[in-house]
Amino acid sequence: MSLLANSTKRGSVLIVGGGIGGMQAALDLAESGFLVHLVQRDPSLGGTMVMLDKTFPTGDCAMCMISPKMVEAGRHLNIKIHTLAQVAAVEGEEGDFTVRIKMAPRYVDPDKCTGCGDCEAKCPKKVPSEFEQQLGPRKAVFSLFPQAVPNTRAIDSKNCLCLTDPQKKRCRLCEKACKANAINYEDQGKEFDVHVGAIILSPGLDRYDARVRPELGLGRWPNVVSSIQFERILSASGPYKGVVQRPSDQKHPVKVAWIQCVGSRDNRNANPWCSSVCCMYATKQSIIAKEHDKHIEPTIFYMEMRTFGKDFDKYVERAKRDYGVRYQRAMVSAVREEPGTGNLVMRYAAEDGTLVNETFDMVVLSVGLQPHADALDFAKTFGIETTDYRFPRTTHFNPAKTTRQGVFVTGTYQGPKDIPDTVMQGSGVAGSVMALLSEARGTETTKKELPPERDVTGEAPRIGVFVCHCGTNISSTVEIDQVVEAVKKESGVAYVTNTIYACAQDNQDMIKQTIKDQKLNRVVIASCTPRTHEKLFQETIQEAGLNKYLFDLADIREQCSWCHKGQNEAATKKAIKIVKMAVAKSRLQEPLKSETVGVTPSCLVIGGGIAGMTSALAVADQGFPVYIVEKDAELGGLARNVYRVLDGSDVQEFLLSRIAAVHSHPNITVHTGTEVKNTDGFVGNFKTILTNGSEITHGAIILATGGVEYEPTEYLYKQSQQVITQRELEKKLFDGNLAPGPEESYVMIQCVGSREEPSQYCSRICCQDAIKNAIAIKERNPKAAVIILYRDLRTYGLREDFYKKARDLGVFFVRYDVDRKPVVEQAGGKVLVTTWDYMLDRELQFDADWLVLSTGLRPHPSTDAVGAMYKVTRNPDGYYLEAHVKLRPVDFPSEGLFVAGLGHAPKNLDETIAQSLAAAGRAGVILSHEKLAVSGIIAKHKRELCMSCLSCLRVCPFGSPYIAEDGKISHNEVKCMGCGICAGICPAKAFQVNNFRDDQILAMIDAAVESESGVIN
Amino acid sequence: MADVAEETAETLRSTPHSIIEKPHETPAAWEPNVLAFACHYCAFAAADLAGVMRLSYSPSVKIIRLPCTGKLDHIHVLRAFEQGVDGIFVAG
Repeated sequence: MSLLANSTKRGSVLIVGGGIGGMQAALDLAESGFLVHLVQRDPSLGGTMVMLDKTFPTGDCAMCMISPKMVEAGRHLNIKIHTLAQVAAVEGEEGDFTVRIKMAPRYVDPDKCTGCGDCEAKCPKKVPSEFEQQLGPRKAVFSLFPQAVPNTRAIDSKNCLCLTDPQKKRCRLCEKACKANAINYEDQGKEFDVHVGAIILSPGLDRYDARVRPELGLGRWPNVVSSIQFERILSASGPYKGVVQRPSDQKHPVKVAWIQCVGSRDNRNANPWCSSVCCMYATKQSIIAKEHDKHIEPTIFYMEMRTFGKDFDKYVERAKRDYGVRYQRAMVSAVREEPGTGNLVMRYAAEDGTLVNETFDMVVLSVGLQPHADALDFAKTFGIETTDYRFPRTTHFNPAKTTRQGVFVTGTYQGPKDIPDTVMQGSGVAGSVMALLSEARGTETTKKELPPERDVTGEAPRIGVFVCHCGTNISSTVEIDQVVEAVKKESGVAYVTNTIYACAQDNQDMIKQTIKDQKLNRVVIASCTPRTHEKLFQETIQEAGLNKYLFDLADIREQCSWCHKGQNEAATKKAIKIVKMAVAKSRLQEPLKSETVGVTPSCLVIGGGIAGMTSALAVADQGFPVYIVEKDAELGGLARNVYRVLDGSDVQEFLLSRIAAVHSHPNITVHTGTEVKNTDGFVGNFKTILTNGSEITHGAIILATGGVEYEPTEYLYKQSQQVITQRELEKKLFDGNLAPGPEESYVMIQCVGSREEPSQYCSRICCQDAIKNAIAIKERNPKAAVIILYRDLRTYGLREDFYKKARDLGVFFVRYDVDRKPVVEQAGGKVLVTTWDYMLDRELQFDADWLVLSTGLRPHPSTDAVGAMYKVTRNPDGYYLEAHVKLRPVDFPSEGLFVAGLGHAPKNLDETIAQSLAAAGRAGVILSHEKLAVSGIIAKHKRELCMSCLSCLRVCPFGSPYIAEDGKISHNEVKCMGCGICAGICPAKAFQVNNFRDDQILAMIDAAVESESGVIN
Repeated sequence: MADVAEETAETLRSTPHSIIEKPHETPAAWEPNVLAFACHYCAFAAADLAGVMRLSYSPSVKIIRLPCTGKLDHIHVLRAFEQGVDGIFVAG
């Protein structure tokens, strides 16, 4: 891209914190031409998410999702990972910072360590594992968790027998065990400077230490555990291998209680904010626990169910209906152990005030999130201001920007949030940094130079097989010599040898030399899993001039030696089979060409509200032309009717500044009163015709079609002049400068048109709107009465402060139940509102001068048509369905399409802005490439075999098969992701997936059942 | 469909018992030869994790990696059974 030689900005970025948010930002930036320094305090990337078992509301395994991201970040040429590291000092300014990084000694040389784990096996010192939350042990030389990245052990100097002994003469068992000589007891750590153009802070949050509240029993009663401990208990790779059992006696608990808001929403010895995630994770934990053991009877004790996210309410309904989870609204005052049984007696006040004692087998404390203990020092190091709560100071309209130019924040550090919001902010902050440093893009990144590929067409297979010992990991179970001998006889095998560590640098060189010396044209390495090592070995053979698809990895460690310890004969037999299967496939391998397609570096944004404009500006600031298409005659969308946000920031002022910025931006073209008429193309190469006749070519699309407010039909709306919506009240308050009279009374009803059929979801914004307006009324006239009838007050995260402020100002809150909704009648000049008060256990009546309805959100009516045009799915509520609820919150399954704003789900303005920046960041990744590489592993379509039965067209999740002009099926390989569902379903076998062709799979099957004598058994 | 089922039942009824293969007695130390087809993204990863956790299962289970279990074809299953595999495990 623009390589200005005289640019003063640096094309590199420092990211502090390697959890999911930091990694997302790192990957987006590194993929779009920036060098990233990723500083992580722990010995591995991963953060909080790696400790989780499953994630809500889909029940996906957390590790399965994050592990590929860690591997990708760990292998990325333009991401430099500094683990066990912290930033000591920052100098300079936006565009050019000098950062001092201090690395603690690891005592294991990462250049030599292959991650085999032989040292850990020999280490005699066991200590409680931090990762397992003290529920299981680890060694003094350890890996934080099995999938750790970098896959390098570290020695814990406080517990190592050798390092705690001044003579360093004791033990040394790990040193003896390490065949790679990677152990270095003399390691001193290091300090060094890096120069970067911008800084992103994503250190995450700590968890509240519930031992501060001894009455709840954590640390006192063994069967009281924290929620993060319970995550580890649930985890199949955790200390109890996924068996739900009590720490005290390993008994399977039946009655399990969750106590919500431990450390949250409480000023005494705890934090005043809401931690945002606990209601959902407790629901998830109760569901998963029940799935693990159907005898479990979960009860969740809560104050308010704050399940405000996309599809969250449905999840709670499912928990109640399908899993029998009991939700008990109550504050628990104390937990004590029943002597002799280990059971726990909980004392709580039921909603009607009666005190109840109930006994449980196990209690889980849903602990909240809080800034790390050193949060103030951390902020000081980077020169940023913090709030009273030690969170970084940001603004509603720019949630990623700190008080210091060029220093950004992302993830939970900015405020408690869940994984999708964290990932969204990660991409969003990347988008902001791309815009800031756009002129320096590509100035500091490196590209791997590879020798020209040797043409092997027409050559008979000459397969080289390298069988790895992995120290003793494989060789202690599998007889390597026998494998080598057995494979030698296979046809096509030209060379077989063994190697101690195939992945170590010296052996990589040996493999490259052997390819040349033996004129090998295919390589099989028998070692570990392709999921972590395939790319490494593919690069190795590329460096020796072979096409990377002439490689196969036979997994004889994870899937053989590690599972069949002690069964050496059977394991060796299996290893031979696995290698023969790989050889059988390898014989049929062909070099594959990775095609590339050009990219039109411009972006189409559909929708000109805050989401569309924010995305457009963030893409345009990166230097790419942007076209905004807005249906209405003017820009602004729904925000035109919004005046203030909860913290008082002026929305209209912000909106006008955005509209002005859009109109004056040289890279932005606005088409108002216009819609998309026709669209065609694929990632990097879209062609769109608008209803005004304009024809646009562009490389990416952002769908920001927005939402509309629900227009109520209930509660006398439109029948009584005194019944208005929150938005109408807001207009009176902030636009009309309404001064409420001293005797005036306002009754507000929440969840109008939300959280009940046919719209069984939370609209997320209405509680904030009600509180914002209630505060404004009270501040203008403290004597005016404001009563809010609510189901659950969902002022999540740091918004909780305003709930407290409203209560302090004298706003009344009365809960109602969906089965007993308020009844509204007109009585002369008043609106009479009757509701049931569950606290007083009696009916209440209010004479209201104004009845204010908190109406929910709906997707914009155009969502369906736009969705159909771009073949993106909508969920049952009509909102766009993203590619992955957790890790791809702004992507669609089809590449090059992104989503932002209310079209995705209801959300607050700051969240819309974060998501819009994320869409811009994700689009920037594509647009910054001159060419996009298409993977070699794609489906190939043979038109001469195809009968155009359309089976493939129906099943392909990516829309790559299409009906061509001649009326028959063709296949767009650029869209293909190589899943092979088309190949599975095609009755004519017109589709074959490269490297997973049917002949290759059949050859593997044959090799799997062939006996050693060559006879099929 | 119902017709097909009836036809099959009828064929079985009319076939002399002598030519229907009797179920085999399972020898004591017999281990079924199982072939697993695993999706690269989930089940194959799970098999890796089983190894990482040192969980033990029969060494007669061998795994073939697919890009997605949607790629599995009838012919793969038929060929495996034809070659004498005792069981097939599709996981994804």
